[in-house]
This record gives sequence, structure tokens and C-alpha cells, in this order.
Amino acid sequence: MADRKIASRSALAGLAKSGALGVSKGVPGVRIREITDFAAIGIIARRGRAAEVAAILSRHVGSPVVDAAKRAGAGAVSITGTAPGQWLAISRGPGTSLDELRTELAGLAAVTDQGDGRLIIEVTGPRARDALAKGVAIDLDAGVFKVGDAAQTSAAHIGLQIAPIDEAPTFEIISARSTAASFWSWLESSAAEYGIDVA
Amino acid sequence: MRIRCPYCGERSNDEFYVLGDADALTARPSGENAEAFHEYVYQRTNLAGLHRELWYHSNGCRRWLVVTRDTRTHEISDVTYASKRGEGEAA
Repeated sequence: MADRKIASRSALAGLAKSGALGVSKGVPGVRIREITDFAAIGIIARRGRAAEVAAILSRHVGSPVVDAAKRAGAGAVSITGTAPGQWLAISRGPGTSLDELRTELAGLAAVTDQGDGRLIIEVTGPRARDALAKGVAIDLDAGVFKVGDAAQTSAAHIGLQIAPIDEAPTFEIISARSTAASFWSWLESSAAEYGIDVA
Repeated sequence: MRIRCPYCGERSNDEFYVLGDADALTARPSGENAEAFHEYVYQRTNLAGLHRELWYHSNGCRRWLVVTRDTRTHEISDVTYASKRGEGEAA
């Protein structure tokens, strides 16, 4: 049998070319970076076990994880609440793994690998909030949507999870990889008037 | 119209899918009485006033909610997880 290897491929391969897009006058208003090397798992606590799962997640990420729409973790590992008793854990970096966490959650939660199923991008720049506000129908104002908050919502009918990860502001957006092309089309159109820099 | 989801907070009704009367399918009659079964499956009241409805937060936390809404004003007085109906079980 032929020896097959699965090659890692960016979710935006062939769609987002690095460089400048949209209007080009002065500093680009929106900067976009795709995160390509990561591991991801979806976690659904078994009935009545959410508190135990949250305790394990807190220990793993090194900061409190609650059963709410919040994002915990300032380093390579982050854990975001997506629904009651449910979280998405991400570990960034080449060759990274969440196998240890998966083992710890055995019997307490249903864990599914999402490493090949997600698009992760970071959107920042002085006009990032304006560009995102064209499609994300939640209040993105810094006074309301703060670092540590997260939301499961949609833009252009595409489901996504969004969280401000610093006060620049930089927004982390995680969407299904299968809708990456549609999402990119919306984001590029929405940010074009501010000028875009793709890392 | 905006719905305050217990998990996600206040969101536009665009994020939800509405099913209708939250209490309509709770008391299933015997299949032998065709008339009663027809009532159960198809007949719904169209009331003017407080209405308990099932809404699915499809573009959010993907939870079924029971929304108590005044059909005359769209004023929403209560939103709870549908899974907590009756039994008081965890969401």
C-alpha cells in the first residue's frame, strides 16, 4: 500500500495572499494574521460534571475557567466557553498537542479533535473594530466586550467565536474551516475601505 | 426584537430559530384517537398576550430556550433553558 502523509495546509491557502489589500493610503487600518500551527479540542462535560471539568481546565491553563462565555489563558493555551458545559481548547505552536488534557478529561467529558476543523485569525489595527462591526451583531465596544470575554455569534450567516485578546484591540476569531472562503470574502470586503495588511 | 439568552446575553432574533408553543408537544395522546392526535400535532392557539415559545439559539450557544413573550408588544418577560422544564435537570 502506498505510504501516505497528511500535509498541514493553511485554511486560507490560496485565498489570503500576504501583503496589502484594499485602499492604500498611509497606515493600514486593519491587520490580519492567520494562526496555522495549533491543536484544538472541543470539550462537552457529561451531565453534572461541568464543575469538575472546569477545575481541570483551570489547572491546565493556569487561570480560572468558568462555565460561561469567557476566554481564559494568556499564553499558548486558551480555553473559551462556547455553550453551557462546553469549551474549545486551543494550543498554539508547531507540533503542539492537547493529548495530556484529553487524558485528564476521560470519563468526565466528551472530547473531539478540532485541529483540522477550525480557522483561527487575529484581527487588529485602529479600524479593526469598525470592520468587524459591519457583520458581527454584538457590542464590540471596549467598555462592554473586554479582554477575557468571548462570544459565540455570526457574521454574514457564518457562525464564529470572537474574543478580544488585548487592548490594541486584537480580536481572535475562530470559525469552521469549511466556511473559511466565505468568511474571508466577507472580512476582506468589510475591511477594504480601511486598508488591510495580511501577515 | 432582542432575546436575552441565559448563556450568551442579549442577541438579535436573527441568531435564533423559532419553533412555536413551548407546551404544545408535552402531553402526547394515545395514537388510537385520531381526532385527539390531529389536535396534538396540528392545532395551535393564536393568542394575544403572554406566550411561552421555543427558540433555538442556532448562531450562538445552540441551546433550546423557552421565551415568554407578549405577542401584542414583543416584550419578553422571561427566558430559560428548555432543558430545565419540569424536571429541573442541568442544562
